[in-house]
Amino acid sequence: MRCGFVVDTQRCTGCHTCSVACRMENNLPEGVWWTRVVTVGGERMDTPAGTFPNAAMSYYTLSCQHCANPACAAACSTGAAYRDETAGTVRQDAWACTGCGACLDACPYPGVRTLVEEEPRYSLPFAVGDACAPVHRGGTVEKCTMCAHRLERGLEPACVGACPARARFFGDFDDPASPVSRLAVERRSRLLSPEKGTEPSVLYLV
Amino acid sequence: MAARSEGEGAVAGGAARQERRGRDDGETRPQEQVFSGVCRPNCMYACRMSAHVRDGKLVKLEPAPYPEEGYTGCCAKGLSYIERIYSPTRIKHPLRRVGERGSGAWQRVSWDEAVSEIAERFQAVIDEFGPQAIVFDTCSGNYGYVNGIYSPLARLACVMGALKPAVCYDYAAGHGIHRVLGTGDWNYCNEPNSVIDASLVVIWGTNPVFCAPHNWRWIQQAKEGGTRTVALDPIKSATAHRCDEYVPVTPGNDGYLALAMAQHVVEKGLVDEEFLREKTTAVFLVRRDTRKHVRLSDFASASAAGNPPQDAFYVWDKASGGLALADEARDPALEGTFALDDGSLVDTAYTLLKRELAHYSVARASELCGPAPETIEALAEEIATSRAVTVSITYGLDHYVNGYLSTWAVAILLALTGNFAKPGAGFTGMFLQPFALNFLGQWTEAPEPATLRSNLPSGLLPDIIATQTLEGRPFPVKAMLSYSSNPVGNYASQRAYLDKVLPNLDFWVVLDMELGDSARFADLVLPVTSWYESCDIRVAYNNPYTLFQEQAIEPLYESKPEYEIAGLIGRALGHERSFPADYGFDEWASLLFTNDAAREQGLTLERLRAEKVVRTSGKPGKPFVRGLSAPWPTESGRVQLYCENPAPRLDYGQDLSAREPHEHVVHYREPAECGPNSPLRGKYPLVFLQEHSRFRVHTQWARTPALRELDPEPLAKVNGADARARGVRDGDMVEVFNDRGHAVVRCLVDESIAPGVLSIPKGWQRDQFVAGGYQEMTQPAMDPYPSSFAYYDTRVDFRKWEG
Repeated sequence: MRCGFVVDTQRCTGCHTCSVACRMENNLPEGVWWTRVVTVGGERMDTPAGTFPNAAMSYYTLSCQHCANPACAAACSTGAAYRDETAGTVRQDAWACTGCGACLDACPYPGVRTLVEEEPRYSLPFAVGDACAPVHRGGTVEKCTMCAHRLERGLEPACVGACPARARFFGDFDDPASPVSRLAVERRSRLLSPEKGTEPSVLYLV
Repeated sequence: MAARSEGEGAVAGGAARQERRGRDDGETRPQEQVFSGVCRPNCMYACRMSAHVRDGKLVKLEPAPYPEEGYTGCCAKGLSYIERIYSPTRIKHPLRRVGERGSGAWQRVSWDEAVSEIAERFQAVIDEFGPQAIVFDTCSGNYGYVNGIYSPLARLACVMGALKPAVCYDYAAGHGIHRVLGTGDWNYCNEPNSVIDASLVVIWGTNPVFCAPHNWRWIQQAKEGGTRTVALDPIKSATAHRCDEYVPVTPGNDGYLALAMAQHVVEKGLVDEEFLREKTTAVFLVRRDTRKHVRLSDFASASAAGNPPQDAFYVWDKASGGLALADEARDPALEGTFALDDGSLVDTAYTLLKRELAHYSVARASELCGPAPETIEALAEEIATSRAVTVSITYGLDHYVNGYLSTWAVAILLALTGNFAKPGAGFTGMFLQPFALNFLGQWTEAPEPATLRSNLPSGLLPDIIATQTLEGRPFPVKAMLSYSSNPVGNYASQRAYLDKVLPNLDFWVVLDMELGDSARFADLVLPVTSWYESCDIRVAYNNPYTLFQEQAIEPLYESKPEYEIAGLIGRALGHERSFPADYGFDEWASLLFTNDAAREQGLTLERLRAEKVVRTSGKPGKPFVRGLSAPWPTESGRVQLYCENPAPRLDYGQDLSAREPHEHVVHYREPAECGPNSPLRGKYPLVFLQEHSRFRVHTQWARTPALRELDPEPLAKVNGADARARGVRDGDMVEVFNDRGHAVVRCLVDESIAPGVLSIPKGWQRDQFVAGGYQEMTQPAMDPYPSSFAYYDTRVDFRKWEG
């Protein structure tokens, strides 16, 4: 089993719906985003590279790449960052994490994991999202769980169904009949920083 | 509150190592109820939502399925609405102003006190000035039929005899197109999925990637099927970046561009003459003396002889060399000038149009609008020869004083090229269903006399209230009640509201969830429920369904649904018969299902409540296309190349006699302020646009924490050349200003913005600016035909803010 995502960058409109769906589903604290939108173009959100009118801009979404060979796990001295071989995902155990930040330095995908401040703050005075959403412990590093609490119930990660552009797909890359495996065969795609040898499980259709 | 439950039973242990849970670490998943709902701000859509409730709190919103999969989905705003419901800025109980207007000093009052005060103040106005001195102001904050824009608060206005002025947002687009298609203010667009059948989609002055992702989804699907996409816009928008071609255009001159393309199509012989003869009024004759069509009633004897169902139209039959009724002529002349027996001259409508088009050229269009001549010619030829062309519009063209002329011109271009009444052809962008519920009946079919006084453009209120006159006649307006509306935030030329309305209005009641720009300046504020705290009904825009909103949670604090507030005020004013004390949601909602449209669909409140989502227009798998799925609503049943009876949208006594002779044939007129010949060009070299953001709908979601983390503050977006010329760098604070006002805001250098344009994305509240507000600078003038705000017809400049 190797669960992962396919993101169709031809369809992605950079709308942040996946980001907000993730934030609400997982009851994320303020300032914590497990999936983000990256503007390919200028330095700031929604700005292009180049000069008007010959300017260019596109988007992709960035979250934990759930690598088959995760750099975070290799760097983690407590075993908090680990690969769950059963689900084929990369996890971060909030109870084992000491917040040392080694995984943050090792991961080649900046922004996918966050060191939660000592007292996590929330925009709402009660927990939102799923009843079994993960706990957020101050002083630990956290990241996308691939909505493990949903996978257990046979549901897709929240970001997939929420995508209004139909740009996100989920499935098992080890299953040739899964939508992600089919898209991997049918469409041109690329991985993020494949040269790092992390073997990411998020495929970007181009 | 009936709802299905999910999530009973134990949590399965899936992962090799069970990570410890949050608060619910036990064996049993807490009970969760899921309610059906519908998101309903003015993004021109109606996302169906599932509302998850745990322990009486709304904990999650997610898109719920429409029967047709392509209509399912929502955006980041819809999902984060929970943060608005439970926001610390939520108004908890009625508030009475105790300090100066806008000072922020409030006193908590009970509902009884608030309602009594409203009744006393309103009654005093009625006694001294009459009921029409009270204004019921509403708009698009909530597209519910029992709460919000369609709520029974309008019945209160009707039975009181108060004014309910007409909204002045976005009406120019429909007004111009109505002259061609007869489709009224709103019913000019095809169903969004119709773009699948288009060979070319021209996205003209609109940014569906940001503002209408529900519509972009279909355009993307069409693209993937081979449809070509072209974006025309002064800004290289997120949509333009995703289209096959981007054509930059100057603001406010789209009408000229469309007419120059039309002229090019004529010159190249690419006009669809068969379409013109068969489906349009091109062959109809126009009398030079009366500017009316030649019709049966012009000839009394003919009228007496036959009894046709309508006052039929004559054409010139080349076969007989004389007049013939349009349906009877064998060879109607498309062009020509002819003399009637009485000697009066007549031209065909097409001849009049061609005569006007001859004044337009691609060369001049290139100078005025920006694109190279060959780009304009190529696009014109593509529109003429492509199999089926859709123009996707919303209100980019609309927001200029000449906006209705621009959309009129685009409609004429589509007519000349035969791009109506066939699959994939026509307009999309804001599809309204042919189906309607009987909201007018809910308002006016009351046990007491009820009059809807809605012919006054709300955009005139600042001047009316400042002078207490209209068109030179006394017109007292003393009190106002605003619901589902934020006029201070959304009316053009904000200082006019602050400086003219507020000092001259004796009493202002605002209903809202939060203290927005309007409520902050009110005398009395009433807290209303959110969308999920009351049942409601929504006839969707941009899809063919009608939906039921279940009540998911109890009203928070002391908030009340608007239909209850209408009842409280109505009864306090003595209108017990129109607002029976035992009227709840069901009684009000039932009134909506009493029209023929509902009966023909077999739609009842009970059925909608049970099924939650019911298709009420068109047929599955067959996109609704105007002029094809239903006949044109024009008098002739044809597309009109000539406007026989140009009428203003609203008749409020304005004198149009000097304008009328020029309103029959499409033409271009310069925008009021933003055009290249404006005398203000030197003083204010930049045209001020307010792109609509993906993070707000008008002024809603301005304070939503999740969205503010992504998009924290107002930005003035400018081209790098304009920034450099003023010594401004990306990230500097700047003052954007003109004679009407200013806004101090952070500058974003953005090469999506054309030189000569400045854009502050819309929807921020005043206190989110360092000083001023983005709406202070906007154009106050409205053309008296469409009576529609012209926000983008505005010039500004900016300078580094040293404040």
